[in-house]
Amino acid sequence: MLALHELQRRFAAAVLDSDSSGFEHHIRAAGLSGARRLRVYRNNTRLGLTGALEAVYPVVSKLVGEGFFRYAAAEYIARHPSRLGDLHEYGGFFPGVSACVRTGRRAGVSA
Amino acid sequence: MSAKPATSRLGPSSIPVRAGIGLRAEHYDAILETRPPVGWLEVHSENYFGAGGKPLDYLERIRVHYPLSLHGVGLSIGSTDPLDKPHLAKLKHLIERFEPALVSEHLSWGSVGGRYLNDLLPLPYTQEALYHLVARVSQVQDLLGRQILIENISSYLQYVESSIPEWDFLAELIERAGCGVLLDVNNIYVSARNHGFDPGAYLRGIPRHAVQEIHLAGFTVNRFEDGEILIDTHNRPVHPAVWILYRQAVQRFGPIPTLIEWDSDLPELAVLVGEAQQADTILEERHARAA
Repeated sequence: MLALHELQRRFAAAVLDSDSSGFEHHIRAAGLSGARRLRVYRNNTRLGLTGALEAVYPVVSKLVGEGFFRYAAAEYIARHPSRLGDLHEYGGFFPGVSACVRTGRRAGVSA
Repeated sequence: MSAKPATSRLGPSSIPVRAGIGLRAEHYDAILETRPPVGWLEVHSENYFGAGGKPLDYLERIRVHYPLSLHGVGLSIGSTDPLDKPHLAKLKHLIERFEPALVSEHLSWGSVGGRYLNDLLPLPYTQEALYHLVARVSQVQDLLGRQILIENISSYLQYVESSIPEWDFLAELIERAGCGVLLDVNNIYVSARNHGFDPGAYLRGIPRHAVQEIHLAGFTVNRFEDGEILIDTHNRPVHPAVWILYRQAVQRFGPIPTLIEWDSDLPELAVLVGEAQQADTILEERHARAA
């Protein structure tokens, strides 16, 4: 039997790193595909973290527009995973990343 | 319906057997101005982890009028990472400051290897996971110096590895760790539809004495060409099928303090109060039958 820690590690890789190769076969086959079910979790995490950034940086969001903000947020989330269960602490380096993305520079270098 | 609850220096200290509502920032002023007739309020603990500011100020003023429940969403109690001690220290401080009647967390995990998904993720229901959860819940209760309630989550996948039903896992956990159950009736319905189990079997699998709080909320149906999945979105009224399941739960467990949760696309406060009154009606019917 797969140990709990390894299962959690593979789940996180599937959601955060889009590497579901080690995880999909742990999902019980029933109706909807494993890939579809996994997408629900990817979506939840992306929406949760993007919402947290919007709550902390409402002005940035207004300035750059919703579409661009979400793009910049996705870039940021990929480079800076959340490190705490309390989402209010998330997004410390985000304004810098947002500015970098906007000017076409490689995001995350300065963070 | 029930006698006026006992009060402490902060405000009412015990949760009456009535419906309450989730307190959200958008309703702070309306709550203080209109003092709606709901039995109690529940907040997400992490929203009050800051050192000061508006949320804590409002909570202090509102706490005077309503009994309080603290509901955590970020402890990641089922993770194999070490417990987040600073998080628990903040929670303990909040408990000391606001003296909640109930403190709860989820039967889930949300982090591994130091990375957080900030979501309520399902556990495999195995003996290994059960031992782990018993140890973790016990550790949290020791650190907080009180019992906590553990809530069943909505889930969108099941693991090949799971060897026991979720309700048996939860029943074993409360037996061994001495925690209570926060039974989310909407989550039972959502998971039952997503995985094809009988929600009645879930209710029958939970010991009668264990349930100290019930949650109700609204879900969303996402339809695809190969099927549908119910998502626990907390953005609409309680579904009629969930009200039916709630009646069954109240029938089995007796009248239990019940919370209306609503977290996005928040309506006017009156809509939440109306939902709470529907729950109150069902609780009163059960009271009357028991009398």
